[in-house]
Amino acid sequence: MLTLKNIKDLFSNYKKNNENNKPKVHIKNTLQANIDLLRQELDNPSDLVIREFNIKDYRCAICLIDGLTKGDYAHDLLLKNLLVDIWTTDKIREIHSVDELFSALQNQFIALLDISVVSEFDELFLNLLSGDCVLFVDGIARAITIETKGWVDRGIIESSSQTLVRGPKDSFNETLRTNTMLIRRRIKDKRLRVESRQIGRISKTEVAVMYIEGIANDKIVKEVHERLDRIDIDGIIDSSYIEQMIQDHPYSLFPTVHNTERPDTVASSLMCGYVAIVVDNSPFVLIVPGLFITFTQAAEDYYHNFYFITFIRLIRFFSLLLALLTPGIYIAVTTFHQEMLPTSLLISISNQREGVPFPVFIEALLMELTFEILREAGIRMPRAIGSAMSIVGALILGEAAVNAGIVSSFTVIIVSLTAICSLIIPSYHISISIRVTRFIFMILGAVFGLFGVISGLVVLGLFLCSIRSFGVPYMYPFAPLNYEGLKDSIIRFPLWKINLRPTLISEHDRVRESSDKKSNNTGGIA
Amino acid sequence: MKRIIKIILAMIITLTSLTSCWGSRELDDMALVSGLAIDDHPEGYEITVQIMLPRVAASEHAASSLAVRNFSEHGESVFQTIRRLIRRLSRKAFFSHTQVIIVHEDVAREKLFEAMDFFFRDPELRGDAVFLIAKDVKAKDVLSILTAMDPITGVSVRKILESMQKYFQANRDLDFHAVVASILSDGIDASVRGVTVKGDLEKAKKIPDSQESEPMAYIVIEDLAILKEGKLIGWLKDDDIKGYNNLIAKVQNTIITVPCSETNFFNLETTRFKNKYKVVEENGKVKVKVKHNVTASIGEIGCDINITDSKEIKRLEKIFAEEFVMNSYRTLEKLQKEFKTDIIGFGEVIHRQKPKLWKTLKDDWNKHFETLDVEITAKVKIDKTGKNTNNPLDKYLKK
Amino acid sequence: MIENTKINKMQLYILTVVTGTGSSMLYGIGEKAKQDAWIVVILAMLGGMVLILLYCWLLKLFPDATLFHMFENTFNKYIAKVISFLYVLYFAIIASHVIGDITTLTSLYILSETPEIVIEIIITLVAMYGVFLGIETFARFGILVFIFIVPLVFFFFIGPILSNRANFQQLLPVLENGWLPIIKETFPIIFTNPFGEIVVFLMIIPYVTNNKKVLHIGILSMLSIGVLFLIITITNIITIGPTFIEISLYPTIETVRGINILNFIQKVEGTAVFLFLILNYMKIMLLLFAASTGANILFNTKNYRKYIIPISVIVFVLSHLSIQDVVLHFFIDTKIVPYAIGIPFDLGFILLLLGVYYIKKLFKLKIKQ
Repeated sequence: MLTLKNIKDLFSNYKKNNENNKPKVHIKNTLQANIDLLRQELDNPSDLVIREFNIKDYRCAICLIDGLTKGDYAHDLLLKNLLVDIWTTDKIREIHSVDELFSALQNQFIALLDISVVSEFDELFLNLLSGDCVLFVDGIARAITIETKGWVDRGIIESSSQTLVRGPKDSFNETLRTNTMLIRRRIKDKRLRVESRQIGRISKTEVAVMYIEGIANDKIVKEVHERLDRIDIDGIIDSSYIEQMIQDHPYSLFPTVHNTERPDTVASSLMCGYVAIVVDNSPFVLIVPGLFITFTQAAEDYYHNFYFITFIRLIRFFSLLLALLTPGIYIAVTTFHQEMLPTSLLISISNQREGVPFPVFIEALLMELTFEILREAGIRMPRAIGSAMSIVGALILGEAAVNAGIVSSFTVIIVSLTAICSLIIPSYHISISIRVTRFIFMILGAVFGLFGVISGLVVLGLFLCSIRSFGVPYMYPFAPLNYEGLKDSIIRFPLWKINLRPTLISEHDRVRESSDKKSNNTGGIA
Repeated sequence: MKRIIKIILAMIITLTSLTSCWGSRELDDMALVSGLAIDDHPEGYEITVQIMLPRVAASEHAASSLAVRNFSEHGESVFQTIRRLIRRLSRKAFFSHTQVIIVHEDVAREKLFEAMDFFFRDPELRGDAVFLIAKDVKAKDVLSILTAMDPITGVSVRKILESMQKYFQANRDLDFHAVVASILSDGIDASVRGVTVKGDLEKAKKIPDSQESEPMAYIVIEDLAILKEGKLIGWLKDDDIKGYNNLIAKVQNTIITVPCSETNFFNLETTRFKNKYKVVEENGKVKVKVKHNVTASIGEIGCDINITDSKEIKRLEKIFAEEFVMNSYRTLEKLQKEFKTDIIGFGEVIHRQKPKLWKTLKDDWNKHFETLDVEITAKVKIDKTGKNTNNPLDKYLKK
Repeated sequence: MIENTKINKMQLYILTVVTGTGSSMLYGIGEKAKQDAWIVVILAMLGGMVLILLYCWLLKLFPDATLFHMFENTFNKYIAKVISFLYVLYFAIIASHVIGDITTLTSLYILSETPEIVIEIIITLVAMYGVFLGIETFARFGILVFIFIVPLVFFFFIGPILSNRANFQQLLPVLENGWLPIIKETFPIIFTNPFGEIVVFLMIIPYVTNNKKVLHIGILSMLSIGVLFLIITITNIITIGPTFIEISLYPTIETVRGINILNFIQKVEGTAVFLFLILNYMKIMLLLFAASTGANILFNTKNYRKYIIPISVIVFVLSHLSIQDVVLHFFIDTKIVPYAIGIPFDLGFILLLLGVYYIKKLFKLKIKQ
C-alpha cells in the first residue's frame, strides 16, 4: 500500500541513489572508446554530429548537437581552424607528441573565445547538450569543450504583456544570455554580480541571480541563494516554477515575488537594491523582494512628468480599491443599507431591479462569473475568432440580458467598472489576487452588509501587514512607514527629490541622487 | 499557532456561510415611502404613506402615468397605524427616504408631541425629512396632488421648499430634527411652514390633470405655523413672513418691493443679508438691538429715477432700509402682542451674549418676550444695477 | 529572517491614539457641560498628560519592564499576582465594553435584524486573528488605518461647514454656569475613555525599540487625542447644538448625518459608523493583546498566544452580558466605569506602586545608614 511513509521512503531512497550510487565516468584514453560511449549514452540520436579528422598523425573528433550550436562558429570557424589555418602556423611543425598537440589546441589553434578542458563524462554531456562542441583527441583522457552555443530565438522584440508609450521598447526573450546582456547593457558597474547555478535534475536549467553588491541587502541575497539551493525538482520550465518554490507564503493569495518582461524595470530595481533572478527559457525575470507597492508600479512611471504620474498612481490605487470592493459594496448597499443611497439613485436602481428574477447577490455573482469566463476565453482562444467573441460578449451579455430582464443594467455597469478597474493595475499578478478576493467580499457583503465588508477589509489588512517577502514587510513603505520609501509610492516625487534608496531594501550605499538642483538648469543661450 | 489561525479563519468562513442573510432585503421587495401625512381621526390618527413606484418614476413615461400611490390607515397610535398598513402593502414599507412629513393643523394643535415621538425614535427614519403643517386641507390631500415636473409628490414638495428657502422666504426649522431641536431649546420656539392646496382637489387626484397645461390643483407653501411649546397656536401670514425673514436673516437672495407711486414699484434683489444682534441693558431693562446689513441689486424700476446718480441711489437705499425696518417691526409686534411667542430666537441671543442675565429671564421667557424692547435699524447698500443703467422705457414712465 | 517583535515609536504613537479614540468618539464627551464641552476636553487632555507623566516616571524607574514586572519587583509576590490578575480582568472588561459599544451601534444603524451575538462573534474572531498575528502586525495595520482616518476625520469636520449647517454662535456663551459643571464632567473623563485607558501604554512599552524616551510620544498622543476630540466636540456643538447633543445617543453620527455637499455627498453616516468600527477593532486588538501578554507574565509562560482564546471567550461573554440591557450598559458606562474601575486602575495602583517603591527605597537607605 502506498502510504505517506512509503512515499517518504521512496523519496529518501531516490535521493541516495542520485547522490551516492552514481559512479563518475572518466573520459577514456582512446578516441573510439569515447565516441562509442557517447553514442551509447545518447542512444545515437539523429542530431548528434561527429566529425573525425587527423591533425598530423593524431586522430581527433569534434562532436556537437545539431541545432544548438551557432552554425558559422561550429561548422566554418572551428573546422577551418583545425583543418586549414593550423598549417599556416609554425607551431604545428614543433608538435611531436599527442600531449603537445593537446596543449597547443588549448592555447593556440582554436580561435574561439571560451574553451575549457573536461575530464568527466557528466560535465561533458552537460556542455554538449547545452550547445558546445566537444573535441576529443586520440590518446588523451580529456576533452576540450568549445563554447559555440547559439540557436534560433525570438530575437529582442517589444514586450507583449507590459506595454508602454514612452521608454525603451525591448524586452527579454527565452535566452538567458540575451537577458543578462540586456541588463548588463544598462548597468556598467563592476559591482553588478551574476551568479549562476543549475536547477532541475532533468532540465538542468541555468538560473542566474543578479544584484549589485553593496547596494543590495546582503541578507536578502543570502536568503535568495539559500532558497534556490533548497529547490529539488525535476525540471524548471518557466521562472514561475522558481517563483512558486521560493515565495515566502506559499498559501498566500497575494504574490510576494515580482516578475517583469522589461529589462529597464529590472535595471532600475537592481539599482534600488532588489535582487533579480533570471531563468533560462523564460522571458520573465523575477525580482525579489516583491512588495505590494512594486506590483502597483509600472516602468513608465519614471519616464513621465511626476505630476502626471502622481495623478495616475492615485487613479490606480483608487481603481484597485474599486476593483476589490465595488461589487461587495454594491450588494451590501442595495440589500442592507438602502438608506445610504441618494433618493434619486435609489429610485433608478430600484426601477432596474423590478422584474429581475434573482437576488442582487446572485445577479452580481452570475455577471462576475460570466465576465471571468469571457476574459479567460479571450486569453485562450485563437486570435482569429476574437472579434466573434467580443460580439457575443457585448451583445449577449450587455444588451440581451438586460433587455430580457435577467439582469439589471446597473449590475452590468458595476461589473464592467470592476473589470476595467482591475485591468488598470500594471501587474497581472496582483490583479488575479484581487479578482479572487473580490468574490470573498461579495459573499461578505451579501451576508453581513457593509459590516462584513469592513470586517473583511480588517482581516485582509492584517494579513497583508503580517506577510513578508524575503524578510521585508509586504506593505513597506506604508506599514512600517518610511519617509524615503513614500517618496516613490502613491505619490511620486520628482526624480531629484528621491535622494535615498529605501532603507529596508538597500543596506549600505543608499545615496541615489545628490545633484544640486538649485544652481543648475538655468543657463542657456540667454 | 499557524493551526489556530487556520481554525479562526475557518470559523469565520463557516459562520459567514452558515448564517442566513438577516435583515437583507431586496430593493424589489421594498415599498419606498416618499411622504407621510398625519391627520386627525376620531380613533386617533389617520396616517397616509405615499409609496413611490420606481418603475414609473424612473421611466420616460413618468409624467403621464402615476408614479406614486397613497395608502391610508387609522389607528390609536402612530406606530400601531403604520404597522396596520402592512395589510395593504405587498411590500415592506421603507421609511429612510421619506422626503416630507405633513401633519394636519388639528394634530399640530393638540398632540404633536405624541405623534412625533415615533419618528424621532426610529433609526430608520432619518431626521432630514421636511416637516410641514397642512393648513385648511387634510394632510393626505396634499400628498394626493399629482405634480407634473417631479412625478413624486414628496420630492416635489421638498424641492419647492428648498428653492423657496434659497430664493424667496426661509424659515428656521426646515427638517424634522431642527423642529425638535427648536422645541427643546430654551429661548426659542419652533415655526413650521404651512402647506395647502389650491384649486379643484378632486380632479387633481387623477392623471388627466397633467394632460392640461394648467393644473387643476396645486400645492402651495404658505404661511408660517407658530408652535408655542410644541403646540400650534396660530399662523403668521405671508405679509408678516417678510419681517420674519428679515429678523432671522436666513435667506440671502430675496426680493423686496416698495411702491414708488400709486401703481408702480421698485424691486430690489438682495444678494447678502446679515443681521447683527446686540443685547444691552439700559436702566435695568433689557434691550436687543438688531441691525440688518443688506447688500442688494436693483431688480426692477417702475418709476422714473436716475440710478446713475449716487444721490438717487442713496435715497433709494434709505427708502428700502425704512421698508426693512418697518416690516420687521410689524412682524415683531404681531409676535409679541398676538402670539406671545418668540420664534426669532431673541432668547437665544440673550443667552449667548448675557448668560447671567438670561438666568433671570429664562423661566418666564415668553412673558418677558412680550415686553422685550427691540430696536431695529437697517443699512442697505445697492451695489449693482442689473445690466441696464436706467430704465430703457423711462420716457414712457414719465407720462 | 527571524521576526523580532518590535514596534517603532510611530507605531506606538498610533496605537496610543487609537486606544484613546474608541467609543467616546460616538457618545461625545462632556455633554452635561453643554456648549462648554470643548473646555472639558482640554482639561481632560491636561489630566491625561499628567497620567502620562506618571507612567513615564514609572518607566524611568523600571526601564524595559511591563506594568506587571513592576508589580513583581515592588510588591510581595502574591499581592503582585493578585493585582496583575485584576489588571488582566480590567483589560478584558474594557475590551468587552468596546465590543458591546460597537455591537450596539452596528445593530442600531447598519444591521438591524442580524442577531447581536453574531456581530459580537465576528468582531471577537477578527480581533483574535489580529492578536494572533502579533503586535507588530496590528501596529503596522494601524498605520494603514491612520493614513485613511486622518483625512476622513478632517472631512467630518469640514463637511458640516461645507453643507452650510454649522452655526458657530452655538458655542456661546462660554462658561455659562461657571466652572463647576465643567470640573464635574472632566473628572470622570480623565479616568475613562478617551484619556484614561492609556494605562495599556505600560504593557506595550517593552516592545518598543529604543524605549527610553517615550515621554514625548505619550504627550504627543495625548495632544492628538485632545485635538481629535476637540474637533469632534466643536463640530457637534456647532452643527446640532448642545441641546440636541444631550438627548441624542450618538451625537457624532447625527452630526455626520447632516452632511450634504452638492446633494451628492450625503447620507455618509454609514461611513462614520465604519470609521468607528475600524478604530475600535484596533482598540480591541490592543486590549486583547495587553490582557493575554499580561496573563502570560502572570503565569510565567513563554507564549502569550495560548491565552488569547480563553481571554477572548471571557471578553465575548462579558460583552454579550453587557448589551443585554442597553440602559444598564449606559449606566455602567457613565457611573461605574470611571469611578470603580477607572480611578483604581488608571491612577490608584500606579500611585500605590510609586509609593511603595519610594518607601522601600527609604527603608533601604535607613538600613544602610
